[in-house]
Amino acid sequence: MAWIRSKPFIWFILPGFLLYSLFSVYPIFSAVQISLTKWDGIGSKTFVGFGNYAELFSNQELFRQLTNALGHSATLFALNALVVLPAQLYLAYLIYGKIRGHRFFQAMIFSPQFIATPVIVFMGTLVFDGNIGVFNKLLELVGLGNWTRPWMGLPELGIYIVWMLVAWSGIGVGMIFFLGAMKMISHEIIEAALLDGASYWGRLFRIVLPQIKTTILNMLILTYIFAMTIFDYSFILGGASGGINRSVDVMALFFYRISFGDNSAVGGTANVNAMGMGTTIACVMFVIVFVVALAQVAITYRRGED
Amino acid sequence: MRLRPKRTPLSAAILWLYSLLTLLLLGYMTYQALRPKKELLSATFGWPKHLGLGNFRKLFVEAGFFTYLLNSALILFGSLAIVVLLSTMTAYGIGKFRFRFKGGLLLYFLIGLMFPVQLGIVPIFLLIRDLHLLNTQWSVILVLASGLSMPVFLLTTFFAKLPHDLYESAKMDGANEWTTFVRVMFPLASPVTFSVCIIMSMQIWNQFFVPLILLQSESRKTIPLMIMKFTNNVLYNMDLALAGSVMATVPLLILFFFFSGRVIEGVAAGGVKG
Amino acid sequence: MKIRKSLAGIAAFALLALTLQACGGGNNEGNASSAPASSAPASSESSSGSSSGGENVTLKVWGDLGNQAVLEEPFKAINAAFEQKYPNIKITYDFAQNDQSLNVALQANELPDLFWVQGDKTSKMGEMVKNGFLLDLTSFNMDLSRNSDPEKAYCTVDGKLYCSLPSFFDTNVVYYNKDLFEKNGVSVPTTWDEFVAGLDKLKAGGVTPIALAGKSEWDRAWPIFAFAPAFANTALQNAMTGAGTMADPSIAEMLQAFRDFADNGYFGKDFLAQDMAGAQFAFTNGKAAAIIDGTWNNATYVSSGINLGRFPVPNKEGKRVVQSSYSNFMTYAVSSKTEHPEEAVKYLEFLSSQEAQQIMEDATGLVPTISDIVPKDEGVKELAVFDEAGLNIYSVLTALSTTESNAADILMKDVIPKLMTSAITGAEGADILDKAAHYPAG
Repeated sequence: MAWIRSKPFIWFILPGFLLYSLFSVYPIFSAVQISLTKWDGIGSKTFVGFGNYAELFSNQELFRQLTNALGHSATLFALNALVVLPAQLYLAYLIYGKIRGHRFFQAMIFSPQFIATPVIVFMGTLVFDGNIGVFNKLLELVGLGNWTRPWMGLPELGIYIVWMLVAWSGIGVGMIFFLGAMKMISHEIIEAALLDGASYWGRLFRIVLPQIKTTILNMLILTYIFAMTIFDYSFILGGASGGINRSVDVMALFFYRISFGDNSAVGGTANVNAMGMGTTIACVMFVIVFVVALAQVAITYRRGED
Repeated sequence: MRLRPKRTPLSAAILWLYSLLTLLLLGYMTYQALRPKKELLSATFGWPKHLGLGNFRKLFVEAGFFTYLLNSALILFGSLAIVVLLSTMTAYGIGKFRFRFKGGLLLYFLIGLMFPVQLGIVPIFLLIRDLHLLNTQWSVILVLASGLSMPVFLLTTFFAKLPHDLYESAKMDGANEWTTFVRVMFPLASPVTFSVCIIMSMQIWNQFFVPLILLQSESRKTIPLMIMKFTNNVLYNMDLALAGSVMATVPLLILFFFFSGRVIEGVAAGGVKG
Repeated sequence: MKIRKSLAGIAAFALLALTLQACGGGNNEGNASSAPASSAPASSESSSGSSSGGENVTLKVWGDLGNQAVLEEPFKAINAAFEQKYPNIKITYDFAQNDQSLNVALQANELPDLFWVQGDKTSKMGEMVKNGFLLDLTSFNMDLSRNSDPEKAYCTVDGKLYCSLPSFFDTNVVYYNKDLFEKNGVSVPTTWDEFVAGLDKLKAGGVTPIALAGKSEWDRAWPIFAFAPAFANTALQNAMTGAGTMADPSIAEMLQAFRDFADNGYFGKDFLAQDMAGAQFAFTNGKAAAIIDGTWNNATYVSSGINLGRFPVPNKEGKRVVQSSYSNFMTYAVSSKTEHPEEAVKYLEFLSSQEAQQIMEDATGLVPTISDIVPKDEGVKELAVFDEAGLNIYSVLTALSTTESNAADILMKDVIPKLMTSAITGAEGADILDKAAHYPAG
């Protein structure tokens, strides 16, 4: 009992730990063993060791799809980290500074989060469709009729369309966390800065950003994880095949296609090994995410200590 | 606060533009929802001849909107209560106290985000079946509430940064660990907890895959499943798809708009005093 | 290292939780009583509990989630009629089935008593039979006297019967805007050349001749489905029996015709980025003069209020050979694990009866294949105007597929996108299909 009493944190951590472990971690890890078998999803399983991993990296078509999807996921991360994250900080700072109408802005920036994904896509059709979209109608009205396009799915824009949708609907998430972090900066620090006579933007860089740097680093890790595991928009824009020429394919969609879609064009044993190979892809995806997250947590954590 | 700048016209313009665009989109959706189906289909652009609440009446009377709303609300509040309670407790435990493997534990809580949801669904299904919870709201509440990764990860930082002397003085006053957490630490972190609430609400509200697999009878289904019923063949059900989308979105937004500022400022003020 | 330790802990906890649950499993009964048959295992328990008097049985049925909005009304009426006929059988009919939930149910071995299947149209039912998930219905001697051989073949795998029989017909027709056709001086074509000439006129008149959803994997294939029997019905028949191959010139010509449509701008500009809602909107708003779609979407176009007409694609000789496949709206199979096979088969028999089929017809206006079903209205009759029922290319390719190589999927996901983007010619497309197909020895 004394041992427990000296570690009060156990009581705080345990309930969450158990629930999370039972319903989030255990199901995943009980599925991971499938990657060591050959399995089509409904028949019987055959143990093949690391055969699936060997095939994933040696089958040319599979490997090509893997690198293509990985490249797109990496592009999404780069764009999110370099464009969306700074934009979120900027917006959060404006609202934190109580710019006139900040409550309205906050609600509006956050509002896409309230809309279910199929509805967002349906709205996209109503607004950006080549024939019936209002946006194109507006272009026609101002004499730019030649510019009308079905903006939601131009294949040449591919992954950038996915990114636009992700950015539009997701920008509020990071923003609201940064806002929460900024609100926790103590008043003494802010007032000291005001006495120093720092300018509006000067205060952002000299006071606010350093104060919330751990939050920024945490968001960066989450941004990385989300970019690597994103699924919805690619699936809706390009179907299981990831669009024409797989132009919107991402890692999670690659997993989904091999597991539940068709694999005939891939060749090899992919079709009779859908679940086996699919799970293998999910595990490879996990390793890629985990290793980087591990490094990021290690760095952040060390910084957080001092 | 005196942080307000003298003038940031450019920033204000950007914010107005962005917000108005979103507002226009929502307004356009609402406007279309007020039109009868025939007009919607054959004169999507044309000047409206009839505007009315017919589609909404159909949504409430024939499509049973309130059942879906009730189910969604039940799942939302159930999951949210569990998520907020458990994630603040866990984050407090990890962030405030010193022990080995803190980083490892934090990383462990991130793993849940690193796999596609579809991968673990069969074990989840079997687990829920063995608990005799299939086709009940509890199944979805438990599974969604177990998604503690993001809140725990983000909250931990804040609890770690809370001034330690507050903790010490509370202990000096004779408060036990639990009272210290509830009375002092939890209110202090409220701006961030509020952010967590908002983000998780949206994730839970729009959750589609887990309810699809775990809930089967119509009387248990949630709003996203109802919306999918209408968007599967969107032209055939366009009136209901639009009315349903409006009802699933706009009231929430209005609530959020009127309460967000008050709630945030309220709890933040309380927290700073504490 | 931390993780491995934690995992051991989780496993222990999971075991503990399950044991506890097994011991105290009675708690849930309370809330279950307000909602009968709230879960699969509970439903069988509760029904056996109340079976002391008569043979009261509850059957759990999964319906097609993707078509819920269309099927809700007819199935409500069908189930009510069934329950009236068999008062001891209660039907719990849930729209809970799509690909994902079916996969989960299969992998968890938790199928409902009855569920929706697609017969020989896809390879799924065959796979389920092979793995023992479906109840063989042969010995139940269902009344099949109203049905033709192809309808029986739909439900048959290796000579055994597995589902309720289809009684409606799905095909693809050209829906057209009568006003736009008239304005541009185009009339309903009687030959392929007239058809193409009409499209040219429409294009010259500044409207998109045919709206195509290039982004939607299924909807963009309807022109191919419609052209295939018009161009190559004999070749498809031969390929299916092993007397010919998919590399037949007529198949190449058919695929090339589709590519030419894309190249010549008959699908309008930017059709590649269009989804089905966009394509349908273009048609209902008078931006496109026609759309090739399934007969099942008839009601959608009728409700838009445009001056609507329909015609099947004519071939070069002026014959109208349309693809035919059976509607899967009423084809259901029984899980091999069901505890009430007799009652489940009664439900299938009812679905195969004229009474249930007429309810479906009155609600949905499908094209009936059995003459005792009365068509809903004149529009339905117009959908059924053709000279010959031809083959469905997807079904043919499914029949030529093996578990290693699914030729039907290759058509949908490889050949069609490449034709649309002019990456391959019709002949190259036919070769790809030929390589993917596995012909029966013959």
